Amino acid sequence: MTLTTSEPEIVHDILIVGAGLAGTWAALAASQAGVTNIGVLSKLHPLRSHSGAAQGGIAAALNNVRPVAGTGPRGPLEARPETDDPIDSWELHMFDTIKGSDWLGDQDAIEIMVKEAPEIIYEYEHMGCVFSRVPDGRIAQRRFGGHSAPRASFSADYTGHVLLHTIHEQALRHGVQFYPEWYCLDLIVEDNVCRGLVAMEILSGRLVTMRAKAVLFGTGGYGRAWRITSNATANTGDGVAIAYRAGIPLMDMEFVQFHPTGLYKKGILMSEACRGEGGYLVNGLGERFMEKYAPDKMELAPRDLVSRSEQTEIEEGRGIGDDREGIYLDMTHLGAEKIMKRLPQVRELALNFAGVDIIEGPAPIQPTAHYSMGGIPADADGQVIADAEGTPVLGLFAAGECACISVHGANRLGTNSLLDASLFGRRAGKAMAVFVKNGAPLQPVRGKPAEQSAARLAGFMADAPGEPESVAAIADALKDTMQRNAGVFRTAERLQRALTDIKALQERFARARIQDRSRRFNTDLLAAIETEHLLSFSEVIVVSGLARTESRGAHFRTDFPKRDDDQWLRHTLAHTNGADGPRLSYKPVTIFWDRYPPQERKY
Amino acid sequence: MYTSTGFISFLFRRISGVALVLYLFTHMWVIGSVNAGPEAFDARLALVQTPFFKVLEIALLAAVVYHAVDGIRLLVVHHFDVTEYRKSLFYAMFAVFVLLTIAGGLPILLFALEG
Amino acid sequence: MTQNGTTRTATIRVQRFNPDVDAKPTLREYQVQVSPDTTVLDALETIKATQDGSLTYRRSCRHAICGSCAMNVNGKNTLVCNKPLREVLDRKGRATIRPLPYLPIIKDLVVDRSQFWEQYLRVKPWLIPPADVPEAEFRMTPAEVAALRDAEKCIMCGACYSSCQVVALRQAYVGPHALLKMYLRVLDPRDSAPEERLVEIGGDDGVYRCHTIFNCIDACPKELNPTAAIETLRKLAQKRAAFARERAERQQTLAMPAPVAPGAEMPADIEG
Repeated sequence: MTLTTSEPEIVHDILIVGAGLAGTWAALAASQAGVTNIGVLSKLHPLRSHSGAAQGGIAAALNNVRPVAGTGPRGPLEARPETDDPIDSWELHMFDTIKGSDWLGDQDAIEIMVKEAPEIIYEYEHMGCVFSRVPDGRIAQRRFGGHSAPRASFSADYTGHVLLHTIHEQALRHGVQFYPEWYCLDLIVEDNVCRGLVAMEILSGRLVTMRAKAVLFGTGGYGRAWRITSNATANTGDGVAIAYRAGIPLMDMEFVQFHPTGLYKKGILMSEACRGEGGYLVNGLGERFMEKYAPDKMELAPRDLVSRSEQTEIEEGRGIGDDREGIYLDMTHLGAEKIMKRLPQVRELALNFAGVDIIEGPAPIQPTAHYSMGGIPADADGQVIADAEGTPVLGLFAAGECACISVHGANRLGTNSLLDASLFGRRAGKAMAVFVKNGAPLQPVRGKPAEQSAARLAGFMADAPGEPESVAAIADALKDTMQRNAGVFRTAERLQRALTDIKALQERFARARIQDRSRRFNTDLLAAIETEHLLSFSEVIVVSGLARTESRGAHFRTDFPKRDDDQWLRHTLAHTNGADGPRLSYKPVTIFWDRYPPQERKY
Repeated sequence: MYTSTGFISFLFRRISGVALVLYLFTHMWVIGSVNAGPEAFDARLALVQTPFFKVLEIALLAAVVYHAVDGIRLLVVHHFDVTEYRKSLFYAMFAVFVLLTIAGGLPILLFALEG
Repeated sequence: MTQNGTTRTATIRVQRFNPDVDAKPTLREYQVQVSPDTTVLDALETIKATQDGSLTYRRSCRHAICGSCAMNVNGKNTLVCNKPLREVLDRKGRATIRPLPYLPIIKDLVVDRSQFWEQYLRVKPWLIPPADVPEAEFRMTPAEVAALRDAEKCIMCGACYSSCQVVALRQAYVGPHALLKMYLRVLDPRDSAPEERLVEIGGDDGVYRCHTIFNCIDACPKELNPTAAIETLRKLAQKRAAFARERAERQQTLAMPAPVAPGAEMPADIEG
C-alpha cells in the first residue's frame, strides 16, 4: 500500500471531529451563529455515534412530575399541577451532581450546566424530539439514581437515539457538511496554537491535511480499554490519545465509572430498570449478598457501591460462570406477566446475548466499564487548556465525553451525560463562532504533517524484524490487564503490575504488523491505530491512578479506602513527557465553599 | 435475490399482467379477421381450436384469475390495516386462485379431450 | 458440526470482494469455535482477530441501536450484532454471510449506502417547526406521541431498503426508510409543512411506487412496519389539503395545555 499525501488541503472555518451529540450540537450552534463553512468528521456514519446508545434520559429540573403527596420519595409519580409549588430546582440538581461527583466536579461549570439544562430540553423538543408526555402534554420525567427528584426527560428507553437523530437532522437542515467515515489521525498543534488536523478518508485510504480556524474534539469516551465494557467498539479514546500525542495534557483519567449490570462476558448494558423493578443480585452460593453491603437500599444503592459489592463477591470466590467473574441478576420472582410488561427489552437482550430467558432463570452479569469522567481539559466554553494555570490552546475546543470540563468529577450521575454532551457542545459551538467572527486567522502549517502520519501508518505494513506481533492479541492482553488491575478495585501493587504490562505491550506493539495491505476501507489498519491509542492513554490512567492515594467516586483504592480532601481535592493533569511516560501536575477544584462545601458522600 | 411471499405475488402479478396484454393482441388478431369475411374468420378460429391453444386457454384463465384475486388482496391491503396478516392473506389468495383455476380449467380440459 | 460440551465448531462462509483486486465476489470458509451465547458478529470478530485481519465489515454498538452491521445472513437481511449464531446455523453447523443485496459493494461485507442517504436527504428528514415557538415545550398529547413511537425507533440500518425489489428495479424510489421518516414528520403535530411533504412523496417515486411486497417488514431488525406507514401516507396524500388545514388548526393550541381525558395515566414506563 502506498499512501498518497499529495492531495489538496481541505479548509474550513470550523472543523469538528466526532458527530455524536457534542460535535453535532457544536456544528449546529456555530452554524446558527452565522458560520457557514463547517466540516464535521466522523469515523462512522454520524448516526452510528455512541450517543445514540444512551437509554434512560436527560436531566433538567423541569418540575413536570412529582411523587404523590404523602407517599415519600419512592411513591407513585403524578403530573405536578402547574399552579402548585415546584419540588425541584437547579440548586437541587446542582447539589446532587456535586455530591455524585464526590466533590471533584468544578462547581462553576456545574452551575452553568444545571441552570441551562431546561433550555436545552425545550430546544430539543422544538426541534422534533418525541419525548414521553404527562396527560396535559408536558414532558414526562422519571427518577434516576442519585437524583433527588424525578428529573429525567425520556423517550421510552432509547432517549439518546432520538436526541442524536433529531440533532443530526437539524444540522443537515442548516447545511453543515459531514465527512462520514473519515478518520482523524493527527492534530496539528504548534506553539500552543491549533492549526488543523490530518485525516484519512476510510473508503479510499487517502490522507488529507485539513485546516481550520477552530477545531473541536467531540470524540467520545475511552471505555474500550477494559475487557468488559458497555462501550461501542468505536469508543477507543481516539481524540484523547491524539490530543495527548499533540502535547495536550489529560485530566482526571483515573476516573472511569463501572456500571453494576453489564451482561456477563459481553459487558452490554442491562438497564437500571432491572434493579428498579425489584431484581435480586445473587452470588454463586445463592445468597442475596447486598444484605451485607447496603442492608437498607439493597440492590437500589448507587452504581459504584453496587459494582464494588459485586466485585467483592467475585474476588472472594463467590462468583458464577466458568471463570467465576459473574453474578446472577435474578428476576424470576417478578413473574412472567410483569417481566413481559415492564422489561421486554431486557428479556430480549438476555435471550439474544446470553441465551437466557429471565422469566425462567437468572441473567449472568458483571460490572462493566461504562463512562469516562476524564479527558481533555476544557473550560465551560469548550476552550482546551494546556496547564493547571488555564493557559488556552488557541483554536482548540473539546466537548462531550472526551472532554473533562469537569462537571462529573469522580463519578457521573445517570442522565447527566446526555446533558453534558448537548449543552457544552452547544456552548463550544457558540464560543467557536465568536472566535472565528472576531477574526481568528487561518494559522499556517509548517512542514508536511500528512507525510508524517503516512509514515507512521506505513510502519504497520513494513517488514518486521522476526515474527510480527498481532494487533488483536496485544489489544486483548491490554484489556485483560486493565480489567484485572485497573478496574473496580485498585491497589498500588495492581496498578504497578498494569503499568509493567502496558510498558511491555507498548514494546511489543512496535513490532505489530497488519494483514490487510490494501488502501480501500482498511479496518485492519484502523484497529492498529486504535490499539496504539488504547496503549497510550491506558498508561496515563494507570499512572494517574497510582499517584492518587485515596478513594473518591469511581476510583477505589483498597489500600487507601478513604477520601482524602486535604491532599486530593484536586484534578490530575497528565502531560506527555517522551519515553518517560506521563508527568503529573495538579489543578485545584473550583468549589463554592460557602454553598457546597465538601461533605461525606452518603446515600 | 430476496425471495419472499410478497415477492412471489409481485412477480406473478407482473407476469400475469404482461400475459394478459399479449393475449389481448391475439384476441384482436382473431376477432379482427371478421372484416375479411366469414371464411377467413372460420379459418382463423379453427387455428385456435387446436389442443395447444386449449392448454393456452387454461393458462389464460389462470392469469386472469391470479390477476383478479391478487388485485382484490391488494385492495384489502390498501384499505384495511392488515400488514400483520400478510402471509396468511397471500396463502388465502393463492388457494382461491388454485381452486378457481381448477374449477374453470377442468371443464376446458374435459371439453378439449372430448372434442 | 462437532459437539464438545457447550462449545462446538461452526463453518462460517463469508462473501469476500475487493473491487480493486478481485474480478468477482467469492465465498470463503472459516471454522470458529462457538458457544450458546455467540452472536454472528462475535464469529466475525473472532475470524478477523485470529484468522484473517483483512476481513472487512462495519460494526459499532453491539446491541442493535447504531445500525452499522446490517448484513445478509442465509439470504435474510438482519443486524449481526444481536443475532445469535445458533439461530442461523443449519444442521451441518454452517451459515453464509453476504453484504446487503442490491447495493454496490465497497469491500467484503461493507456496502455503499450513498443512494440510501440521498433518498433520506431528499425527503427533508428534519422537523419544520411553527414560526412561533413557546418558551417551554409544545404540548403533545400522549396519544400523539404514541402514534410516532415506532417510526422514531428506526436506526437507519438499511436492512429494509436493501430488501426492497422496487428499490432494486428503480433507484429513484425514495424507499421504505425515507417514507417511514416522512410518516414521523407528517404525523407530528409540530411539523408545519405536511402539505409540501405529501406533495413530494405523493409524486412519481413516492408512496405509490410501493408494491406492498412487505420485504421491509420482514427485514426490519427493530420490528417496525414501513408498509403500514406507507399505506397511511397514501391515504393522507389523497386528502392533503384537508389534512393541512387540520394541522394549522391544531398548531393554534399547540402551546396550550392539552385537555386531560378522564382517567388519563402517566406513561407506563415512567419508572424506568
